[in-house]
Amino acid sequence: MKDYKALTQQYEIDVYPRRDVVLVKGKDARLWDDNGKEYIDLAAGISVANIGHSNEKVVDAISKQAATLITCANTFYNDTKALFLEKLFSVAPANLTRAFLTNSGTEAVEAAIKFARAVTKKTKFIATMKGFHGRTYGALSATYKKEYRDIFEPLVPGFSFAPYNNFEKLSELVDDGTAGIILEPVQGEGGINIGQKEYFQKVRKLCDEKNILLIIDEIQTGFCRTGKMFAIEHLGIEADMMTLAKSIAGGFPMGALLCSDKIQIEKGKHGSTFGGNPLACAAGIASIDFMLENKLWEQAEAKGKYFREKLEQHTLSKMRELRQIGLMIGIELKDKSHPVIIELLEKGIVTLPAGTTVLRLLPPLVISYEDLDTAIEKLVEVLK
Amino acid sequence: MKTECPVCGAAIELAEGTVVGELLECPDCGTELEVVTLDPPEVKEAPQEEEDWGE
Repeated sequence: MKDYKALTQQYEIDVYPRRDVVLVKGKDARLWDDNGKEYIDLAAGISVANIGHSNEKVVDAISKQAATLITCANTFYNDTKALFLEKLFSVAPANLTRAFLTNSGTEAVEAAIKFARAVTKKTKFIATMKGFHGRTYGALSATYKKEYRDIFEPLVPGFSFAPYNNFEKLSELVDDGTAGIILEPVQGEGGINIGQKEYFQKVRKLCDEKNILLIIDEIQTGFCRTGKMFAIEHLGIEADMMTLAKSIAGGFPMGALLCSDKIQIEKGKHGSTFGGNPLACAAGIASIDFMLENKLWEQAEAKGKYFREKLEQHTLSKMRELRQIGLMIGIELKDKSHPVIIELLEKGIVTLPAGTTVLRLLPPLVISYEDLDTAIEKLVEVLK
Repeated sequence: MKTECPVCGAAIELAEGTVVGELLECPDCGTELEVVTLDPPEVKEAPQEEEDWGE
């Protein structure tokens, strides 16, 4: 058998601090490694596999589309893309009416930054401390953590950062040059910090008063994760632009920027070779159909509540705080999360970090209650 | 027990039962901090290691 770890280490740029496991197969909320060991997945590929790994509906849609048309230049119309756009806007917030389709979240953020500059004729942006929006230059400029930024500087100028959920500090950064404010409804990478409704409503009002575009980053929170189709529904506001990716197409790479009627861009000013390709769109239609047919937002809400209630029955000496909205869960520890993540992995549970001290849980929303019980049992063993 | 963030100067409240070596975050700037001493209460910027990555 080939040594997959050695081959990867030999040929791939080593930017990922990797776990010592070769994953080869997934189904729903289960994963298997190359030795046949089975894992319960509480990460979903960082909130990608919301509808479960290798969802049959998506597998079937991709297979059929691959046999029909894989690629189509965006200078032509395409039937699958048209149907995907119709499907996407059947679930999107009503004020968002048109999309720019991408292959990833960071590209969606990139488009949002460019469009905000073009529409407002201004160049400054406000993001939040501990916020994460991506790794390309514009998105990285809106990302707070210095370890992601330092060796790549100088970044795009004009970005400043306010503490999350702190309207006063954010409003102090606004001036006549502010084009956009970009916020996550729940900070994912930042530690599962849940946005406060009042804060978002004040920011929305400020944007209206100052002709600033409000960009809501739903890359991690979108598509049922928080107990709603989109987390913005918890906040009672409208976005001018909304970025989507991760779970939009059941694990197939795809992203989207949804725009309100305020956003008008001239032909030829932006584009993508692969964005909105027929394969991604076929996967996206199947994925959204599955979410609707299974009312996946209701499952996220019920299972998140169940998880919290079960875990809170135990005294966990290593836990400082539990933060949860739907099946987006952060367990803040008193010490580093990495050793806990490794111990859980050895026990067959896949989890994620969010910063140094937060254990981040983003299971596929189709996870069974039986698997949740097993995961809670293992968490209790490790955190007690 | 109160101290301040060595990065931004914000007030840091150490909860009862806090122990030396415990990690916490500055509520203002988000810097990860490590408790160095309890008497007097003092924190320093926690060292970042490569496994503390995210997405």
